[in-house]
This record gives sequence, structure tokens and C-alpha cells, in this order.
Amino acid sequence: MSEKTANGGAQSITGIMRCASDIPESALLPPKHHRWLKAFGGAPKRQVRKVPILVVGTSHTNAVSRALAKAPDSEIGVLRLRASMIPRPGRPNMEIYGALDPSVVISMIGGNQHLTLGLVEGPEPFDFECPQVAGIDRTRRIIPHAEVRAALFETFHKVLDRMRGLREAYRDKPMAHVSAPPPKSDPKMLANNLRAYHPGDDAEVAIVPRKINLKLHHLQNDILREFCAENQIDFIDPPPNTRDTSGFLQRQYWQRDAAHANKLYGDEILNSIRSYAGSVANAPNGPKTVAGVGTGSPGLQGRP
Amino acid sequence: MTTAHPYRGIAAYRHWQRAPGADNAAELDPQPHTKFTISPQDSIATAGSCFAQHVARHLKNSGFNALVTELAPAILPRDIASKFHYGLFTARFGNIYTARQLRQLVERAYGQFSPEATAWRRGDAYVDPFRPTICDFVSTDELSAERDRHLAAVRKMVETLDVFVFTLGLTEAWLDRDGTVFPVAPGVHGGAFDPERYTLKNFTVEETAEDLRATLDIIRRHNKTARTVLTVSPVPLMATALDRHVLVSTTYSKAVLRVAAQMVTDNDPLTDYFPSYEIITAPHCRGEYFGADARSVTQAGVDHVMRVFFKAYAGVEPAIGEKSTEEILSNGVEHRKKTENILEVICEEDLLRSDEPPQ
Repeated sequence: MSEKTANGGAQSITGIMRCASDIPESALLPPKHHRWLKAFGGAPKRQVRKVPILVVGTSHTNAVSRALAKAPDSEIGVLRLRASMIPRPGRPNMEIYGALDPSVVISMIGGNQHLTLGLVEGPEPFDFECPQVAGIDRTRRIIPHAEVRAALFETFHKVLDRMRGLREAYRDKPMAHVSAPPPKSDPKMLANNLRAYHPGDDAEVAIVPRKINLKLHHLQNDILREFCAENQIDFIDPPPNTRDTSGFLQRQYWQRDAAHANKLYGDEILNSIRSYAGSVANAPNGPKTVAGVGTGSPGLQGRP
Repeated sequence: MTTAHPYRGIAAYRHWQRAPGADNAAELDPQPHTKFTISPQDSIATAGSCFAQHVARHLKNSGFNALVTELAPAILPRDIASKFHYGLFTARFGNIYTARQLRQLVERAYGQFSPEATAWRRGDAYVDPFRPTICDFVSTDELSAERDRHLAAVRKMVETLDVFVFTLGLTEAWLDRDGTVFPVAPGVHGGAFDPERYTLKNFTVEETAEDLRATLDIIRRHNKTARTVLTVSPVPLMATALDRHVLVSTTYSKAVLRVAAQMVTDNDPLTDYFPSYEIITAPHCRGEYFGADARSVTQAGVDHVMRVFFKAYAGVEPAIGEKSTEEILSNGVEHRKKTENILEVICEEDLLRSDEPPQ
């Protein structure tokens, strides 16, 4: 493996930018992903173009990239980090980041951690008390909020390392993190979608009750808000108009899988990003809270 | 002609100079015989002060059947679960320092005692006054539900254990106005100290022995054949609430516990005393089993204690074995990893879709 790869130089750039690295994409992919090489092999290499608003993230950037493909905006660029690559903890990849000089940095790193506990039923169905979502199913094991939080937090190390690296790379720039889209409410759609990942198993995939997934999504954002507050990063909540009355992602914003939102949702996120960028453009003392954008609450409550 | 006397012909272990250990501390074995044996199949419950955690861990890692009746949620990785006190003892009691605390625990489990105190505030959260360090709760409902679960686990322990190993730790405790005893003073980890309500109690030999007997009575009411091993923690007090040197309070406390344990075992064929305290503090060891803080017990000391324990009660060198409870925990973590893998594939596939025409 090349030194560049070891340094976390495994970024592919979607949307309006392409990777500046001279390493072929095929060299950066682990063997298990070779079946997807065709999708990357033909991508022309272009010079990195500096943009005022840089969006850096993983798969949830795709919704934004789709929206930009439909309605290009020369102010906004998207750098898509490959989820299967793990950079050195907390170290920014300056080979890529150093070539860019954004005015505003937007993180869309991670976002599916809530699904690791909230999508497919595990060996011990559980529920927990969540201040934002009423009701609890006492036929399931009730786990203290602090313990669920600790279990979920365990899935965040890579995400937080990458966010820390991004913050380190642009330490003097306004930066915000965009919440992942709210979960989807239809267990049948999710079960059908997930059946493809359980080949040879005709049994219906058991889906975690949607309300519990919603609780986990809130818990995820609590964790991220606190991390953001500790690292001078603002937090952008899902646009309120994208939620249904129960708090789930409205169907019109669904991507055709269990985890992601679509181009329409990307449009909404772009509006939030533009609003955030506008709010910080003339701020003398760094980021300000704007509508739909909040700073995190301090303290990692419940951590053991 | 030599004269017969009571010490002539006694076993070597009864004679200080002939008993192994003075020259080589590792040979010190102050438990030459026991009242009963323990087999690897026996369900062994553990409880007590912080030293008891060492006993529990050694049992788990040595192929013995360390009983765990309060299992961690499957979603919690093992190292995180232990931070929430899962698996440190048979149930998630936290440390039980005094015999009165143990007695009130089993009394609460069987509805014989209902303390006035139910929850302490700790910042924005609540803690259980009887185990304040195990977890912060977001509401009293959550705390109450978890306590019900805990007390059910205590009942299951009482009713299914074959052997109960209890390590006595302290005599000093803080009492509520209704007689409830707490493991730590109110205000130390939640709650607020009210001198009008809470009082210091330094238990006597008689009180400690009576509390132990009352506890064993309850256990045997539900489990006639339960065997008990009492030990005394060699760990000195961290602090004393009395206005005297902490070392003096330590010797009082350990002396009371040691005598009370003897009083209980002397007349009870199903209760034995195991000399953990003696092994660690023995002059043979010349203080080497205490760490740099002159308080914590070194791993070598714990190993010595457990070596003697296994030899005395099981007659075996323990083998390393995995426990079924740990397998249950592993299953939950495995499930999470499997879901993470699926999500990773979903993310990669969504990347491909981004190359498709926008919808």
C-alpha cells in the first residue's frame, strides 16, 4: 500500500470535483470492492478547484451531489470520503485538505450509526427512555438511556476521528456538521430492501420498531451536538419541513435504500448550508446560530 | 524422657517456624482444610467490597462457574458493560461494604424492607442510593425499573447459587433516619448530605455477626443447601469518618469483621472462613502484596489468594474457560458488527447511484 493510502489519502470526489491525487482509484480500493471499480475507473482526473463552501462527508453527501448535478452551484464543492478507508485517528489528510481553501466547511461525515442498533433486530430486542420521543415498549428489555448511549457511542470513533481531522485541517474556518436524515417509517420497505443482504434466507428480515430507531437518531444527534460544541463546530438539524408529524423522514425524500435521502432532500440541505454560510460570512467572532442551525449542549452525559 | 504437651506432634501448619512461608512467602498456605469443597460445576455467587471484584474475576477466568444473574444488555461490548458494573459481581450490586448493607439488600429483594430513600439527584440525572456508581438514570421511572430488574436478579442469585463468597470490607457506614445503610455517604456520588437526617454508624462485632446470620437465614430459607465462604478484605480504609488516624480505624474495622466472621462460621457447618486478609497482610509477605500507595493489593497478592482458594476448595489448578454469559454479550456485539457491514455496503451502493441521472 502506498504511503498516501496509509495517510488516509483514499478520497474519491463526487459532484463537481474530482480527486487531485495521482494514485489510481483502483489502488485505493480494498479487494472486496473491486466489483465496483468500473464505476470509478473511467473518472477523469481534474485539478482541484477551490470553492467557498466545502462539503466533506461520506455517503450522505450523495444527496447533495445529486442536487448539485441538477442545479450546479459554483460556490459549493463536495469531497466524498470513502467509508471503507480509515485515516489515522484524528489526523487530517493535508494532501487533499491542504489544496483547498474554503471559507466555510461543512461536515456530512458518518450518519448511519443510529442504524447499527436501530435497523435490524438483534438477539435481544430493547427499548429505552428518550426525552424527545414519548412511549416505551415494556415487552422488550428496557435499557437505561446511559447504557444505550454508551453502546451507540462505541460506533462513533471513526466518525469523530474524521470530524476531528477536518476541524484540525481548517481550524480557523467556520464549520458546521449536518445531521443525517431522520429514519424512515416503513418497516416493510426496509425489510424488502434488506432482504438482498441476507441471500438464501427467505425469512422476513425483522426490523427494529420505527419509534426506537427515531429515539436512536435523536440520541445520535445528542452525541454529535456535544462533540460539536466541544470542537467549535455548529450543528445543522434536519430541516423541520422534511419530517412527518411523527418525526420521520417524509416519504418524498426517501432514497431507494434503508439509510439515505434523495436529491430533493439534498436541495433542502443545500438551503440549510447556504443559510449557515450566509450567517457566518460577516460574523466577526466566528459561527453564529441561525434558524435550523444549533450549537450542541455541553457534557457527555451518561458516559461511564 | 520427653514430656507430653498439647503442642507436641502438631501439624506443621500449626507451628510458626515449621509452617512453610517464612522463608518463601509463595509457600504460605493458611487454609489447610475446609468444611466443604467447591467443584467447577458449582454456581458461585460473589459479592462484597472492592477486593471481592478480584475474586469474581479470577473465578470467571479460571474455568469455575461464576454465577451471573444480571446480564448486560447484548448491545453493550464487554469492556463498556464492565464500566456499568455488569459482570463484576453476580448481580449489579456495586460494592457491598458492610454486613448490614448485604442484609438490607436481600431483605429488599424479598420485600422485607422498604427504605425511605429511593433516588438521589446527581446533576441532571438520578442515581440509585444503594449502588450510586453503576449508572446515571434519566428519570426516576428508569431508575425504578432497573432496580426492580436488579432485585429480581438478586432473588435469582439467592435461589440458584451453590456457593456464596462474601468479602467483608468495612464497619463504618452512613445511616438514613429509617435505618437504611448506604454504601457511600450521601453527597459523595449523588444526593446531598443532611446532618439532621444521616448519621455515622460504626458497627460492632455483635451487630456484624447478627447481620451476617440474618442474611444467611434468608438465603437458606430459599436455598437450603447454600454454602457460604466469608472473607475479609485486606484493603485498608480510604478514609475514616471518625477523628482518629485512618490506620487505627482500619485495624478496628478489620478486627471486628474478622471476629464476626469467625463467630458466624464457628457454629455453622455450611459457612467457612477463607483467610484472604491473612495472606495479604502476613508478615511472611513483608508488605510486598501492597502497591505503592500502601493500600491497593498487587496482582501477585491476588494470585496468591486465589491459588490458595482453588487448592483448598477444589484441589485443582484452575483452567481457563469461557463463560456462556460472555457468549451472550458477544452475540449482541457480533450482530452490531454485521449490521455495520451491511450499512457499509449500502453506503457504497449509494455512491454508485450518485453516478446515475438525478431523480
